[in-house]
Amino acid sequence: MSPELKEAYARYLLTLADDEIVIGYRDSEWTGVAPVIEEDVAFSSLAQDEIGHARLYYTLAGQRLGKDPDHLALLRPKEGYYHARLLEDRTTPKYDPGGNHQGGGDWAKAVARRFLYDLFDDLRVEGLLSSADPELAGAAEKIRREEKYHLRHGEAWWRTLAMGSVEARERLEAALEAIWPDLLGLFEPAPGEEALVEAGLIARTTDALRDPWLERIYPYFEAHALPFPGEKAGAEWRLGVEARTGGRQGIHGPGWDELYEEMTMVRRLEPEGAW
Amino acid sequence: MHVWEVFRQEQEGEPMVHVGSVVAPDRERAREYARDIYSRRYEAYRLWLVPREAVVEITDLDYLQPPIDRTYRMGVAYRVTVEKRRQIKRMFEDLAKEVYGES
Amino acid sequence: MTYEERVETFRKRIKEGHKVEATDWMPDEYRARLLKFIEMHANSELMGALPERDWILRAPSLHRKLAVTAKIQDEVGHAQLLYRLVEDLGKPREKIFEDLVQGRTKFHNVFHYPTHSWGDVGIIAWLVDGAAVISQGALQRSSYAPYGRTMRRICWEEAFHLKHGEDIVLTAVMGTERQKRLMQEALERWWEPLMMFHGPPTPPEKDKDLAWGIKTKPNEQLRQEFLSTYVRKIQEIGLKIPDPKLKFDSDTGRWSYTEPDWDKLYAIVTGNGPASKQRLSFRRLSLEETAWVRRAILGERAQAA
Repeated sequence: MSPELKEAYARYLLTLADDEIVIGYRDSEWTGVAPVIEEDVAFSSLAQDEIGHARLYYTLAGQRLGKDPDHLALLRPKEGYYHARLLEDRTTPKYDPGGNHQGGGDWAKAVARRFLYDLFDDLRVEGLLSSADPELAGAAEKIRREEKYHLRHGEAWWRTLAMGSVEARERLEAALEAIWPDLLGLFEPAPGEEALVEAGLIARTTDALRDPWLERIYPYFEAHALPFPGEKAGAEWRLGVEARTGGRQGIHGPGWDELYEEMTMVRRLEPEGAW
Repeated sequence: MHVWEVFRQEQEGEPMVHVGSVVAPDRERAREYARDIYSRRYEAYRLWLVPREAVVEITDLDYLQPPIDRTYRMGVAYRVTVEKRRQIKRMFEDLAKEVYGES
Repeated sequence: MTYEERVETFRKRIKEGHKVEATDWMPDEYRARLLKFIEMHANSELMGALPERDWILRAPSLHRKLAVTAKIQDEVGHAQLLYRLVEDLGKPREKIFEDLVQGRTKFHNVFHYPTHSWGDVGIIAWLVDGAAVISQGALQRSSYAPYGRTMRRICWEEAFHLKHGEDIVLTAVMGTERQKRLMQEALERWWEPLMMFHGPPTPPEKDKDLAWGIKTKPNEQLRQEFLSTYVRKIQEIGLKIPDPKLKFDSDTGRWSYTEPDWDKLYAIVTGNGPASKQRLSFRRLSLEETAWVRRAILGERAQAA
């Protein structure tokens, strides 16, 4: 592997890992505050799965970069994380020790984000099954066996929110409207992806996943007559929203400022210590 | 919301044992919740979910354990067998002595 | 048979070690006490998720992050098992939560305190869960069989929490001075709540829950067992227990210690602890913000009922 290819590959693995760790962190916050306690437990399992996947990817990246997975997960500079911006916002209320808790918990956003991201991730991971790197292909195979259940969970909740009550549907629609630019931001590619395709390490670049993803999610909107911000004209999708990008370059928003501060808080006390 | 009673088989071939219940709006989520509540640590080889309404309970002890002796169904009535075997053996030995004399 | 005679027969059966199932007949007082006892336990599991929940995001490694999330998930899972028992005893879940956030029902003293550092995460998982396992271990023999069975399951999982907590503490104690200090300071914060954990030394003959066999060991006996199990383990790793009067008297075979202020305990569990109001208001906020979801999944069925 040339140094450029090696660098692009490590960057791609970090991007995968960062996506998974950030959504895993955000979803784990529902433990203890979900709508029904059975769902606390279920959502927490999903979050743990994602962190587990992140750990696999960080381990693969770490082997190539000569770094410890925990270092990659918790000790990089804030602007050195490449997750999509969609994933970084908090969807739960936030506890304040003084009692001035921040509200704004949004189960509709949590569910819609998770389901539509999972559908994206499923396509992405599918493209890793045939990777020239047998370790990545092996990881992808295992990851898919877990993600299958995430999709089932997402489908059930999608239906509940779309059809459960007028109120639920309105909340789902509002959440979707708010996240569309960030959903499209998922397809911002990492630098050097084309070389990775050429080397057979990944099947498709991230931006090439957009149309298959649109094909895949459209029926879920259509089935419940949910507004969809675009249409298919011939083989082309015409969308009425612009992607908000930058995440893959390390450009993030206030949600990330908050999360980064929290997730590194303890580790920073003794960065090299054993914890 | 519905209540499902959950039965778990911990290992292949073992019996299904009642472990508790879950409340869920539909079958799909009942499945998920049962997995997450009753098998977070590799505890289940198989799970059964039964709608609570389907459970028929019988608690009438006179019916389940009738008051008049039924021990004739069980081995306890045959504890004498060993002793009988010993007696028969002795009987044959005595007979042999009679026929062949002391040896 | 009169009602009183039925109650007497029931009492006698309990004394003989017989068990009660959810669908069996039970005296009103037994049902009421049982419900209150299990509801408080369930509330504690749920409210207990909150102090630790703050540290889910902050865990200092991927392994700790997964383990802390799993541990808190277990606690909510325990709340689910226990709330199912309460529901089967006749109290609907919505009512349970309403009473909780209105302060009409209680939860355990230890969950009324704030958390300050990663030290608290270790000390809670090791020693608070350790204290809980001692009382829950005794509850496995409760006269109410569904509760006893649930305790067996819960104790099995708590055993993992103790290992997880002890490992956090040991790792820090073997680390830098700063890490060790996190643990010492947390121990100092938690010692008083831990000594209050099993409740005042109510004489066994006055403890009605004991008489009904809902619980099986008196409070003071549980506290003595806790001290016998943990004091040496704590001291062996160089942590100092902040009670100069704590000592084991080999003549009586008992631990003596500074008597906790039981009025303070009462004030704490009735909603006047250092973090009681914040925790309850957070629980209320999260319930309010998700009420629409419950309405959506209850759907038509609930409206018709």
